[in-house]
Amino acid sequence: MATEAIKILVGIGSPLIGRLVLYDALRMQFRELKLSRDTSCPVCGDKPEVTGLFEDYDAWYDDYWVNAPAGQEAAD
Amino acid sequence: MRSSAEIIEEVRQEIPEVSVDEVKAEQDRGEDFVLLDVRDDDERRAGYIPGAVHVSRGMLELSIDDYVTDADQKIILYCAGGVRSLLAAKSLKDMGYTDTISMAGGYRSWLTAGYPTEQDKPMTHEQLDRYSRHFMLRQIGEAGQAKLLESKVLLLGAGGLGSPAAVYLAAAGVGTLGVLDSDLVEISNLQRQIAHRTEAIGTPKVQSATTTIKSLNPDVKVVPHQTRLKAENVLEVFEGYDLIVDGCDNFPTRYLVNDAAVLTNKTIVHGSISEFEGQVTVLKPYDGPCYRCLYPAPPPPGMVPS
Ligand SMILES: [Zn+2]
Repeated sequence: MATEAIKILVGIGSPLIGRLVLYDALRMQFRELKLSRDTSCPVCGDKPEVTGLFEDYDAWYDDYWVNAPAGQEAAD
Repeated sequence: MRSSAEIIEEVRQEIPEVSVDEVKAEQDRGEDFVLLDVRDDDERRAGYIPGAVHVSRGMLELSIDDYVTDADQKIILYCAGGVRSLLAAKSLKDMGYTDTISMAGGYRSWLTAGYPTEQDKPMTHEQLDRYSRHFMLRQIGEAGQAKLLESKVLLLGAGGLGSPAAVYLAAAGVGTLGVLDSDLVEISNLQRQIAHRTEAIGTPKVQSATTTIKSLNPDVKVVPHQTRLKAENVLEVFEGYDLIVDGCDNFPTRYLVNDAAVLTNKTIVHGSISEFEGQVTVLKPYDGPCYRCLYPAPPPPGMVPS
């Protein structure tokens, strides 16, 4: 994380924009996934639904999961 | 043997020159060219032309492709008086750069013309020593170090992820580090949260991290935020920071941080870790995905990013 920060601040190299690096210390393996922006994203998409902050993110989260209607399963 | 005067005369036949007035006018018109300062580090310390990229003459052939990859990119070179830049322009042309031009009269003529200059905050002798290994990395150098010293980074969380980031960024000489955490140091933190020391058990993590950062590098200004991020304070906390390093430990805050970062157009270096696995990415609004592009719905309770 610190190296990425330094690269961005100095403006050198290729920052991890649109890439996710996964690190498995037990196997000592690195994997890289390509990620792209979702044009239907509620925040940064072409037609954003979220144009300001929610009032309370804890409550939003609790509503989503803790008070979720019975039968709603956790997404994988 | 040919004299230097003869060589310079020969190169003049081949490399076009422009006056400082023309360079200034092209800059003002916003024309597309790279202005390349080929003077030595100590000359650049005294001041440079705003917007100029710096690669000293001695490193030119080795380093130019870090800055200019398109061989047809127009490059205007300058030195102190206009001779080294002429020879440097010839070297670049020989390397295959097609549009290299030398600024006649160099930086001295620029000064005489009264055009604006910039100067990095001068470094102390101690700083020149402290960051000398950065200077050896040609992609960083003194100019890069000056940028780091002017940078303001906000660390969200001074725990397992925030701690090493804080220590490394402090060591590297990031000028301002904001540290946000509402917790106190516990003994069970110490096995991995390296910004904290045994003596700090029971004290706020922001205070403990401040002590560690200051003793590692007194150049760093630490801004403690002993609070929890909420919708009411997030925009105020984010203000003034160039970059956010997100090592926070709960999902509601992750979404809050993401939404606030997109709304204020700030880049996040995002990390998470669980047991032996970790992940890292950079979320730059509109340039790549945001956290919600990746995880539109929040993960259920019980999955803990820490
Ligand atoms: Zn998004």
